[in-house]
Amino acid sequence: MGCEVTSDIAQIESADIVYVLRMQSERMAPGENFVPSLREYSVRWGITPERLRPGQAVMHPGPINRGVEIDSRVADSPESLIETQVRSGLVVRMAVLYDLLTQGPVSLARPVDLNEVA
Amino acid sequence: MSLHSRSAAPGTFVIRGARVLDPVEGIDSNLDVIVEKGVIAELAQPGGKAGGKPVAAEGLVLAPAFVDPHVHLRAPGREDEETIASGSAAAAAGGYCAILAMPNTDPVVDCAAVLGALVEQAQEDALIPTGFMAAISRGLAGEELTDMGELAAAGAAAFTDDGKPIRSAALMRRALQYAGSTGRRLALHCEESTLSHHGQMHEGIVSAELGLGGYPSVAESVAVARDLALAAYEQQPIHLMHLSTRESVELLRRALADGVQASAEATPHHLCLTDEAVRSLDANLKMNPPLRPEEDRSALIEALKDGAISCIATDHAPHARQEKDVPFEAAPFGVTGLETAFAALHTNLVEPGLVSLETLLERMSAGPARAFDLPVPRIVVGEPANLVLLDLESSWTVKEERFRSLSVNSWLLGQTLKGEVVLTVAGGRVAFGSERIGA
Repeated sequence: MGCEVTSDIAQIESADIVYVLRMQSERMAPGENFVPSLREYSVRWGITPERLRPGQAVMHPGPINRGVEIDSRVADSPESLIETQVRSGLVVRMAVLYDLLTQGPVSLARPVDLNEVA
Repeated sequence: MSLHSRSAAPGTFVIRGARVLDPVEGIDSNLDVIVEKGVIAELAQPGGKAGGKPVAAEGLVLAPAFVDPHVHLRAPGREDEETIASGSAAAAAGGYCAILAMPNTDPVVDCAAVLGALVEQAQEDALIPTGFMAAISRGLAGEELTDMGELAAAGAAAFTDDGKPIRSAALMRRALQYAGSTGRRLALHCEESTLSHHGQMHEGIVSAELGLGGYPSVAESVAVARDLALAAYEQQPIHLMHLSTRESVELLRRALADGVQASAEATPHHLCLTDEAVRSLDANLKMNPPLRPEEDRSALIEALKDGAISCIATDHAPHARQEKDVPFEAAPFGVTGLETAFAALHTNLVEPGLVSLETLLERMSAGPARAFDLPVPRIVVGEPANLVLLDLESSWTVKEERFRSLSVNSWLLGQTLKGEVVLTVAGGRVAFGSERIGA
């Protein structure tokens, strides 16, 4: 599909934004062996402060598994966009539902301030 | 670095007048090899004045020392059969400068704690550089992958469930994908156990006449076919252990021609013997995979010659005397091999003109080193001295008393072989034959 795939976590160094996803264990039947264990997954690929360079932004759609794919120090850091991302996700969902249930898009008098919404 | 040995003073000496034979470097001439502090310092014309303790080697062959990628050291758990100290001493006596040990121990080498303990033991006890493979599946149960990333970081040289096949093709696929992220190769024991079940020896004329349960060739080749297909699909390298059948060789050749990254090994016993030998019912002729008919042996020899099989591996499998000294059907599989590999192959392949000495030396040294990304032993100035001095004219009889291995389950007991290891230098240290070094 034209993208490069790597299992080397050090390669995140060149990213502007590190986008983290959780392991969807509910879709992995026991014995499928995608990874040997969550412990090893966390050791090899967990996003820790040591693996980030200063100023590198981190996103995650939630829910996050602290200590598995993301270290709490990263999730709660100023570089983390996670809360803004989740709040934006809420607003977008609200807007889509509103449009689907009413006549369609309405024009807004002014841009929405995310901090007023949630 | 995945090899470990006890610390010892590097050697300084001069090996005088040997025929220096390094097939990789294309060297074949009489030279003095000067080793200083464990490093090859100079290759000089013979008869020079170079200082250092002399090793008189006129009439002998000096070659890069051997590498064995398939050894059972039985530690932890069966130290009555072999230990890191005894197994590495046996390897040194066989001309080896590096060995890789299998993880089917008790406990299995399937976590970093067990591997770490072995590495520490090797740093105390190993006479030559010794590496350890770790298991592919926890407890060799074939169900869950081991923490390969952590094991690789702790020094695992490769991954294998040797002794047991990976029954599930899906687990094999995941293992290939996951091992790829660690940079370590899978070494595979190819056996479809639903076909080899109850097999005591090769299924064929001899097994029919002896009335022993058969382990057919297809039990191996069907697994080889599956694993080569998965390696091709996942574009990952694999190493096929102890191949024994011509069908496996044909599958390997086809895969290599298609660009699959496969390496393969054959053992001295499969290269020297056929299932006819089993008529003696000597339990030291019982191994897994079993000895096959002459056409299989010929196919292995051809593959060894043209390089499709790039490694000779002993599958050195020590067993306690009381476990082998039982009726054939009750005996465990496996034979020792470290101390006899070169002499057996020189006697049975080189002397009759089936394989050249150069090919044998390459397949016992550079071939296995390359397959597992180990340093290739080379006779080159500036390289660490990894050397074996061979007396090709010496005839000797294989006797129990001679073995440094703690076990004596050799198929060669009582036989007279031609070709003897007289000195081994491993990682710059004299590991065997130090009495050859003069004052």
